Amino acid sequence: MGFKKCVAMVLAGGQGSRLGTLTKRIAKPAVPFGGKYRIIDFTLSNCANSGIDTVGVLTQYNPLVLNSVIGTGSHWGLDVKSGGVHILPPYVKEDGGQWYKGTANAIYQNLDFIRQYQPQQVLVLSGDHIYKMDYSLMLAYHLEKKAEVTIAVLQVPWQDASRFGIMTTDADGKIVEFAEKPAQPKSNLASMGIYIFDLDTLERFLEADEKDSQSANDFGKNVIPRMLANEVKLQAYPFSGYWKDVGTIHSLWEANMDLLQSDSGINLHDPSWPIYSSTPDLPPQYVNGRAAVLNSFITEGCRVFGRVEGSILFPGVTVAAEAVVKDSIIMAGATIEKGARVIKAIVSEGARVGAGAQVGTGESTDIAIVG
Amino acid sequence: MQNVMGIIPLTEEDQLLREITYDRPVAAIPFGGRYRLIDFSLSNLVNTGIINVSIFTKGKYRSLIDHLGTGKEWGLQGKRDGLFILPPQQKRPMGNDLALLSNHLDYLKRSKQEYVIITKGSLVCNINYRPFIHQHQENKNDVTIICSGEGNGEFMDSYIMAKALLVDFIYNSMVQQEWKDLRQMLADSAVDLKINKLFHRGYFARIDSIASYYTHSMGLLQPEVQQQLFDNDNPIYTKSKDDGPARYKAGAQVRNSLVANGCIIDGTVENSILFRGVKVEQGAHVANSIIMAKGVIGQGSVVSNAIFDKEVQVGRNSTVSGHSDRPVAVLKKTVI
Repeated sequence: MGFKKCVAMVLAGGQGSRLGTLTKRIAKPAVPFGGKYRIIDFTLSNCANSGIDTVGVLTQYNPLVLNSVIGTGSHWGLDVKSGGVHILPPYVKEDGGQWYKGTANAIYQNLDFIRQYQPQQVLVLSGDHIYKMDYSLMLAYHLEKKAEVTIAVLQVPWQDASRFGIMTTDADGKIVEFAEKPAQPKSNLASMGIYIFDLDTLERFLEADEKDSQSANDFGKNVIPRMLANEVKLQAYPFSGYWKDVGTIHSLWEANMDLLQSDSGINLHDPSWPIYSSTPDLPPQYVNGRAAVLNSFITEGCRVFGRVEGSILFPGVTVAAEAVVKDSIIMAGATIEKGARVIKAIVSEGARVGAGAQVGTGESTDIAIVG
Repeated sequence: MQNVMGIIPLTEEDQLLREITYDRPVAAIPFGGRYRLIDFSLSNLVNTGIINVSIFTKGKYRSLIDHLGTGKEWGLQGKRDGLFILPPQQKRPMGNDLALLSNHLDYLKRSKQEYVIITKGSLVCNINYRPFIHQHQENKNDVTIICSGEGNGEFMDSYIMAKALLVDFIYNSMVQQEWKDLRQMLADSAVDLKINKLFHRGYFARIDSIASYYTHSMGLLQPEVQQQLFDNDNPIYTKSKDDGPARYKAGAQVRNSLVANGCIIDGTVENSILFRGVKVEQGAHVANSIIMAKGVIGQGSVVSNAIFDKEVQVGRNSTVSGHSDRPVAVLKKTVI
């Protein structure tokens, strides 16, 4: 095993229950996004582009699709000779085993994996956020400030602050207070759930947390507050840029729609920071003579004979003649049959919207889901 | 199909494809919005279950090697056999297919397979050779030649024969210092060999001129052709890139066209093929044209009946138009 300066651990075990049928059979990070991606592609691409070549992906809930999406890591150039991407489900040891109890426990159970590489720092990431970030800059900040722990933070609108873990910092960015989902937030600096730990500090506090039977074994709820109380040097790394936690149907739909706005801050056509994904073996999209496509994303294998507006079509989608798709997300292989109308909806992989059917109205704030 | 190897001698002449073979062999010509011509034959061999595939090149093979890499995208990077790109040796004859193959007789002799399929790198078709190979073996043919079952039964430049027979032909040529091509060799030996024709029912196009390139590209705009060429059970594989989805903006008007990923369209596109990353700016109009990767059609410009090689840039309010039976071909990286 080669020595690595920093090992990344991606928490990808969650169900994302607020995504309803979309995560009925697949883990949240495997949910399709943006016409040709899966949510986890963003975190993994960020790792690859940041020069991190050793990544553990912690899986638990319905991991099969996630596992095959990740494969050997070749899509991100992570199928390297030393390091690479490793799928880490819970496993049984000599004295037994258990499911991951919480975010901190999941890392605790995989300390052996991390120790193989003897890194100085560990980067803990979530697999279900949409954003582009150069982690090497955060690492440089961590080292420059001689921090033991660095937490990436983002300024959020004040009215949203009570939904997040909120940090209060001093002039130098040192975290002096931390409140998880405070009713009266003292600041609007929200934790992004992206942490860099010095390995020895991490080990100490994970072990202490394990011994605490009252603990929920969660970074935000338990480990970070304990670190703060024990005067660990915690720094806040300010991040500015597009970031979205797509945990609800609405935020998932919104984030997809953001891609269609030039000024939303997220750009999938930026060659300086590509987001990698698998490419299907399908021909280029075909747009028929009677079709109309406006303000949309379309990918390989799609066949459009109807009208598509403000929407995202994943690979191999067919939109038949006289069908209308508006403000919607149509996932891979789905078919919208003749004369159907799909407005402000998400249509799942392989689903069929029958001829003349009406899905969604665009009047309500709800997003209709098919499949 | 462990007992069959695939051989693709790139003997195509490129004079009739001037502007788009300036620095590439015919087999490497971009086609269909995201492929190169060789992808079809290569995918056909792989879908047939063949794991030993060789491509014998003549010259100008840089873009071909860049495209093919280790053969991974076609599933040919395994531990056994795989994809062999065999460049010419100097001072050896290259004039025809047998001559080209003689450059690497070692490879032919070393390969463990008993049968060979020889095909060209410029044929557009989707064909699984399994039934043809079985027939060849059942009939105990010496040579099977594959012809198109459509139209006039045109020969598809594809042969099945025992490897030993092929090697014999090459040895005899070396000894006699006379290099006939395979077709001629078979014609001359017809009396001594059992040669049978088998027919392939399905779309077939040979690309050997700018005119045929244009016509068959436009042919791809027909859904029936798309259905025959692009079959989920026998996909056409190609090198993949990481472009985002094609982006249609507010001014996009696209009709009857094939569009690849990474394109950004804010103008009108009709009866055309856009390869990846092509930008059609506001008010621009592209009709009956083939625009290869990373082309830029500036605001208000008009492009019709044209074939643009990669990275051609058309500035604002310019016009480039050819004729429907004589499309204008524009060299790579030209700025208009």
